[in-house]
Amino acid sequence: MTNYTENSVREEARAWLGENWNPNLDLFEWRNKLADSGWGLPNWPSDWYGRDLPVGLVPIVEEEFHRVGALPIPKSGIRMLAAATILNHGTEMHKQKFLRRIVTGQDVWCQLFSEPGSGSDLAGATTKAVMVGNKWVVNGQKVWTTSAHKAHWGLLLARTDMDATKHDGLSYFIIDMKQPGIETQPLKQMNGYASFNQVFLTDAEVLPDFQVAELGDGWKVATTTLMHERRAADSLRAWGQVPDNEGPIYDQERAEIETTMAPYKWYPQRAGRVDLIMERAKETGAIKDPAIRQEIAKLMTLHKSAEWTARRARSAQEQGKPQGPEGSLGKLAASNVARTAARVHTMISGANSMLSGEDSPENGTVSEVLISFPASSIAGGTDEIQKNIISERVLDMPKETRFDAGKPFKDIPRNTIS
Amino acid sequence: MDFELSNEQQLLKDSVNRLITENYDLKSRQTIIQSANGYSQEMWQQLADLGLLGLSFSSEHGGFDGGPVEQMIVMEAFGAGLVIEPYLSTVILGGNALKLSANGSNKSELLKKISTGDHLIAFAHSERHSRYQLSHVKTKAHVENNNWVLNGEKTTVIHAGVADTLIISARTKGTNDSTDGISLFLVPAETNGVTLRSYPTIDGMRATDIQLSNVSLPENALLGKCDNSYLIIENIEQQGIAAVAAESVGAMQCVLDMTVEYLKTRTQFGRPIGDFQVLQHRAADMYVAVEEARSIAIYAAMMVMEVDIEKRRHAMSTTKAQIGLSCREVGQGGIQLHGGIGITEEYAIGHYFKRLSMIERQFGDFEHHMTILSMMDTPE
Repeated sequence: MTNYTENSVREEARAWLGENWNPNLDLFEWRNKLADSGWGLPNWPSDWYGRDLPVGLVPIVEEEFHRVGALPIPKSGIRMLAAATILNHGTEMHKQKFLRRIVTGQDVWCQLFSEPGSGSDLAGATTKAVMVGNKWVVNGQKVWTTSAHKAHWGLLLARTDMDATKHDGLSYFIIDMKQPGIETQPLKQMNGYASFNQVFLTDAEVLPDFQVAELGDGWKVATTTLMHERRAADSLRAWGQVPDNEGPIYDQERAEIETTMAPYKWYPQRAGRVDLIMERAKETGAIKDPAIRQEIAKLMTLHKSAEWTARRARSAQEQGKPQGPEGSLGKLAASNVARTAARVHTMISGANSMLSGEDSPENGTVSEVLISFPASSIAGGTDEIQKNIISERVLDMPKETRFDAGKPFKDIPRNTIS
Repeated sequence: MDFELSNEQQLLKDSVNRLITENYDLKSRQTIIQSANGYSQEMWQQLADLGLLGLSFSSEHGGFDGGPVEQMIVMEAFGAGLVIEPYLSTVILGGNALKLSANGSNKSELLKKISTGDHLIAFAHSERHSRYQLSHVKTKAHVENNNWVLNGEKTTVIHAGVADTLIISARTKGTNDSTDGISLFLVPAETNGVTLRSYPTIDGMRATDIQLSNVSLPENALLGKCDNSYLIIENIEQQGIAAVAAESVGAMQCVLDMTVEYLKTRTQFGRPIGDFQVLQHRAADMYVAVEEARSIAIYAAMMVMEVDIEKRRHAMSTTKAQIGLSCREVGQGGIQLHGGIGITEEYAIGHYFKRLSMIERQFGDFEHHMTILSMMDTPE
C-alpha cells in the first residue's frame, strides 16, 4: 500500500490539474479525463475510476480543484447512492455497465424504496417481483421518488417471498426506468412544489442479471444505500454551489445543476432560513422588540449547537468513520432549529407571514418557510423514528415489542391501501 | 477541523479519569463534604502531583502550557466524579485572574505555589443585588498614606473559606454600575478587617460572605491596571463558563448512563420500563441535550481565548445558554425517569442533579445570557 501524505497528494493533484485542467474543454470530455485518471473520486478503488486515496485526504484534492476552478464530479444525490451501493454489492457487470456513466453524469438515477403503505416501516414494502419465465416481473407502487420522471435507472426494493419474514423476503434490483411498465406521476406538495413522484409499476420487467446481491438480501443492501443518503445530501449541496467563473464549461455545468437541483429549491426554506433572520428583524423594525430579540437569541443558540454538532459528525466522517446511528442526533437538532426558525420568522413578519406567494415578505420566502418546515421532521425518517434509533441503537435500550417479527410476511396486518 | 484528541491529550484524559474512578466514589466524597475544610488535602496533593493544578500555566510558572482543550478534558472528568475540590476557584478563576492581569507583585510566585498545591485562591467579585451583572461593584478602594483601603462586602464567593489569597474586585472610581473604574486586589485571607462567614451550598461545596472593613493593603496589592479590570473580570468569568460547560458534560453523561441503566433494569408491569416508548423518547431527548452540550463545550474551548471581545462575548453567552438548557433537560429528566428513588439522598443521581442545578445558574443563568445575546448583533 502506498503511503500518502497531505503534501504528496497536494503536489500530485496540483501537477495533474496543471497538465489537464482547461476551462475550454467540453464538460463531457473533462469528466472522461476525471474518470480515466481517478482524480474525480480519488477515494474510490483504482480499478473503478478512483485512486485508493484515504477518505481523510479527499478534502486536499478538493482544495486543489477549487484553487484552479476545476469542476468536480457531478455529485447529484441518488446517482452517488447508486454508485456506493454498486461498489459495495454490485457484480462485475454492474460496475462495468453503470459506474463510468455515473462518474460522467450521463445517467440519472432514482430510489424506489418508500411506498404508500410503508413509510417509517420501510421494510414493509409490498411491491412484488415474481420470476416469470426468465425475467422478474414487478407490480406495485412507489412514492416520494425524486427525479423518477427523468431517471434512466432505479434502485428498487421489492418483495420476492411472501412466506419469509418481513426483512428476509425483500430483494434489491436495478430497474430500467424507460420501459412501458413504468408510469410516473408528479406529487404536488402543499408548498406548491412537485419535487417527488409516484411511480406505478405494472408488469415492469427486470432481467435476472440486474438483481443486486442474493435473493432475500434486499434489506441489507438498502441499508447501505440509506447509510450514504445523508452524506450524499452534503455533497449535493457542495456541488450545487455554482462557481462564478466564466467560460463554456461552467455554463454547461450551470445548466445541468439548474435541472438537477430544481426539486431541491425549497430545501433551504424547509431548514428554516436562519440566515435571513437578522436581516428581516432589522428591515421590519422587529429588532426593537425585546421579546422578539430574546426569541432570536434563543434560536441562534440552538443553531450554534446544531452547527457544532454537525461539524463533529463531519469531522468523524472525514476521519473515515462510518456514518452511525449518531446521524439521528443531527437530524433531530436540525428539525428543532427549523421549527423554531419558522416561528421566529413569523413573529418578525407578523400578519404578513400569512400572505402567500410574491406578496409575502422576501418575495415569498417567509411564507415558504412557514409551509415547508414541517417536512424537516418527517423526510429522511421522522423525529420519532430518530428517537427510536437513538434509544435502541445508541443507548441500547430494549427493542420495542414487535408484532411482525418471526412471522411470514403474508400473515402480518398491513394497510389496506396496498 | 479535527475533533480527535492528540496522543498527549488522550493520555491526560486517561490519567485524570483513572485518578477519579480509583479515588473518588460517592461515599468518600460524602466524607470529604462533612470534613472541616470541605475538601480533601490528600486529593488536592494528588491533583498537584499529576500536574493538573499548573496544567494551563506557562512552564516558567511551573506549568505545562496546556490550553483550553486540556482544561476541558480535566473539567469533564471532574464533572463525572462530582469533584468538590477548589479547582474552579483556585486554578480556573484564580489562575486566570493572575495570568490575564498584566502585572502583580508576586504573580509568578503565586502561580508556582498554586501548581504545587500549596496555595488556594478565591475570586471574590459578586455582591448582594449584583444579580449576574459584572459591572455592579459597590465595594470601594481608596488610597490612604500610600496604602489601599478596602471597604464593602462580597457574597457567595466559592471556596473563600479555605483560600490563602482572595482576589477582590473593588471600585476605584465611577458609579456603582459603571464598567470603568473597577480594579482587582490581591488580599491575603488573614489581613486585618477581612471577616469571613462560610456556609454550605446545595452541591456540597462551600461559599462565603466576605466583610471588608478598612482593610489596609500595601500599594503592590493592586493586580493589573488601576480602574481597568472590567474586561479582565469578564474574561475570568468566561474561563469559568468554559470550565463549567465541560464539567457539566461529564456530569450529564453520567446522569444519562445511570438513567439508561436504570431503565433497562427496573421492572414494572412485567417488563423493564425501558420497554416503554414514552420513556425511551425522553432518554433520547436527554442524549440529544448531552451531545449538544458537548458540541458547545468544544466551541467554548475554541472561543474562550478569542481576541475579538464582541465575538468572544457572544460565543460565551451562547455557550452558557445552551449549557443551561441541557443541564435542565438532563438533570430533571434523569430524576424523573428514576422516579421515587431519584429524589433520595442515598442514590447518586440526586447529587448530580444538585451540581447541574448549580452550574445552570453559575456565571449567569439561561435568561441572563438571553438578555445579553438579545442586546447584541450576531457576529459572523
